[in-house]
Amino acid sequence: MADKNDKKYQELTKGLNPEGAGESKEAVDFRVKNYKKHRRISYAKYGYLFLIPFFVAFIIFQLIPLFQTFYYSFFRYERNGIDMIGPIFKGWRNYKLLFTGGEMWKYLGNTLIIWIVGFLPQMVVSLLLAIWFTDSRLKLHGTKFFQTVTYMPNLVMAAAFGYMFNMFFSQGGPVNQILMSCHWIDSPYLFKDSVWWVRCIIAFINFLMWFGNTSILLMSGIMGIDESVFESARLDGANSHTVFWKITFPLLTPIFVYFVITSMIGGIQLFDAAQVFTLSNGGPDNTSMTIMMYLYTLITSSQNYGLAGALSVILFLFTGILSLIVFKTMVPNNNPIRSERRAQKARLRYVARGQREAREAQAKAVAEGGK
Amino acid sequence: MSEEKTEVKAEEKKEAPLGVNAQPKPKKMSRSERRAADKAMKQKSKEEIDALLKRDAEDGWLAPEDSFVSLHNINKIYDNGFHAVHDFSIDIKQHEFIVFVGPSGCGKSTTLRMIAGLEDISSGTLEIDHEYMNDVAPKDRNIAMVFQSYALYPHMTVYNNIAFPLKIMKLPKAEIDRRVMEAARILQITPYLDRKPKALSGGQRQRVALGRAIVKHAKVLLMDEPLSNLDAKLRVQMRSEIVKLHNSLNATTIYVTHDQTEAMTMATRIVILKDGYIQQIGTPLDIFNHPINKFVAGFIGSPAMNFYPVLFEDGDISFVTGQKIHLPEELWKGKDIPHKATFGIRPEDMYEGRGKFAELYPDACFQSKVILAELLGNEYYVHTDFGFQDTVSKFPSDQKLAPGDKVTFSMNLAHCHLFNDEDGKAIF
Repeated sequence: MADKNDKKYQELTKGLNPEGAGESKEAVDFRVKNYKKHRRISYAKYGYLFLIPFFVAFIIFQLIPLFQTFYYSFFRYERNGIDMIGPIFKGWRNYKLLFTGGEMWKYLGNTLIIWIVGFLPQMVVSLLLAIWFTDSRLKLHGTKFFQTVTYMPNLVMAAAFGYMFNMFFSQGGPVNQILMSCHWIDSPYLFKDSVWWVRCIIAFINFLMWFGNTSILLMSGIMGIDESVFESARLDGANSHTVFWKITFPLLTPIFVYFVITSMIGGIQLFDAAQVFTLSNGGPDNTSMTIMMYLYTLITSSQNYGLAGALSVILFLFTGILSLIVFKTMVPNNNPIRSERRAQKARLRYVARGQREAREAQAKAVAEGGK
Repeated sequence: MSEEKTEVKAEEKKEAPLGVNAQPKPKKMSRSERRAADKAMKQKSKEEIDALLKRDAEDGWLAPEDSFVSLHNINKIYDNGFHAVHDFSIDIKQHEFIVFVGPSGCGKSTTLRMIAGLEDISSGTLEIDHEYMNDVAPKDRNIAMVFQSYALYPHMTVYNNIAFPLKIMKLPKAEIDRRVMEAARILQITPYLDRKPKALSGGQRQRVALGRAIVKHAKVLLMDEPLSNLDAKLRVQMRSEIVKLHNSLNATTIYVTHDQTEAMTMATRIVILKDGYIQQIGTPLDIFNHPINKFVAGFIGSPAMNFYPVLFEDGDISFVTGQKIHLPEELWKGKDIPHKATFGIRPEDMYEGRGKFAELYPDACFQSKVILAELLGNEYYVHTDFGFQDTVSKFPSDQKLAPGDKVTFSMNLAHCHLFNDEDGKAIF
């Protein structure tokens, strides 16, 4: 028997069961009883339920520390001897210290140099591999095998690579031994004392780890382009060079932007390979100390949480701004009206130039004819 | 003893058919067997290609004087040994509109791609304007192609898409502009020149693809199912526009389609293909009226020709239902006709009621029950079960027909066909 005061009961019986007319009381009771069975089930809540663990973890381990980092970046909060100083609010002091002191700029410079030295060959090699692997005309055999092999370094820890290369290039390591047995050098070369050797080796480790991944990423981008577009370009008379620059590369831009941005973020966050390769000392005269290694030193050795917080905030903004610049410069504006107008202007300019050239040629011909 | 029993049971279970029509499952090949089979196939194809190339060398073939595009014994054998195109030969004259038509996988697109240079020719000779083209790069063949997917460059505007081949040809800018504007005017896409392809409808994209093909002023225009992505109405419209364009440009066009209506309406000559073999080459009317075999007869014409297994004896054919028709003497006299054959008649040659053909051929007049009547507006496609076959005939729609109605029809035996059951070839 349903409760007559129940809101749903009233709603269902409204207008249907006036006193002594319409549906029988039993019929209404039956409907109310079965109401629960027949109502719609919303599955949306289960979706939210599944998201809860992520959000809990995100809030505890990322969001709160993020705000704390921001918060402490305005405080003096460091270890001095055995005493812990702070937190004392000091405003922009930490930021001023970082910007005016030369260390941050030096380490940021190191990081960017190492990133660029690794990024440029990574870009070229990955693009070449991606184009070779996807070119149907070449009919390469064993592409799957080579793809797997190029990807494999990505499965190894950067620290493991760092240590391996440290061994390779040590004074009595295999590289020196090989060079000496070939009589190219008489005494062991101290690779780890050379600024550029250390930087290049760290960049090479980064390159080795990521070029396979990048080439697979670019390959997926190229394979996403309709094959007939390439065929059409070939029929239109384009050679491989033109096809790459006029067709493949522009169509690959979104993937390429993603690659550049992620590589840049990864480059700025470069830590483990450099840390392990240089055995935490940052190479000769700290010339291979990356900004992340500096941050790590601030947290672990000096326990300067205020300064580390400020540096983190600066890096966050720096990465964000760089990504935005890359994104804005490389991704074409997708506003259809604006792009159509721009295209129209470009076409008119193109046509006007053509007409001018034709006029000039005509005038020249007339002048020559007059002579 | 018990072990034996269980073994027997297991065997029975293994071999027991799954259903009445169950086929024995093919034995699964091991990896090594598969590899060996692949290798054998490849070797065979290599030997096959060598034999074909030897034949080509001894052939000494020369393209006829009036031929513009000549394909002589063209074969395509893929690396895995699949023989996609067999001895394809045709001489195409200048300004012809040739249509390659056939079901999916018959090799029509492959042949077109071989002409374009996008696929290698395994053996045979391709000449365009009396120049040997087998090994010439696609860009140097002086051809233009329209693809099924349009293959427009998505990041370029319509103007740049059309101008792309001309820019590569390094023509003066004024000339490029003149040609692009001219093509845009012909194809009525001038208002969309500054748009990107994604902002265009299917029909407009198709026009852009056509525009890009015509600005090159290429010797040969190739089209690979260009209308198959359009809706039915637009397809009909574009069909006529392509023909008009072909006529106005005086182009030589090779067009690939699986749609026999397109082939019939557009072509000056049709090439019908099946399983990589040319079935028949001829004008649309020639192919419609005189199909060379049962496949061509069934493929061309909509609705398709009706076929009946019959027994032939002395000019008489008898259907499985026992009905008999005496065929006109001029059709069969003096021909070697087997006892078992297939009788074919087009829906257009089956007339409603007892008209003039009932007088001409009184025994070719039958009554049958309507199974389905498809109304098309001015006519019905009437499905009946004459001869225990689904028989389609075209009737005028002046009277209402419904399933279960009895209809009388008479056949125009002057247009009937008889096919040999063994090889499917037409006897008449």
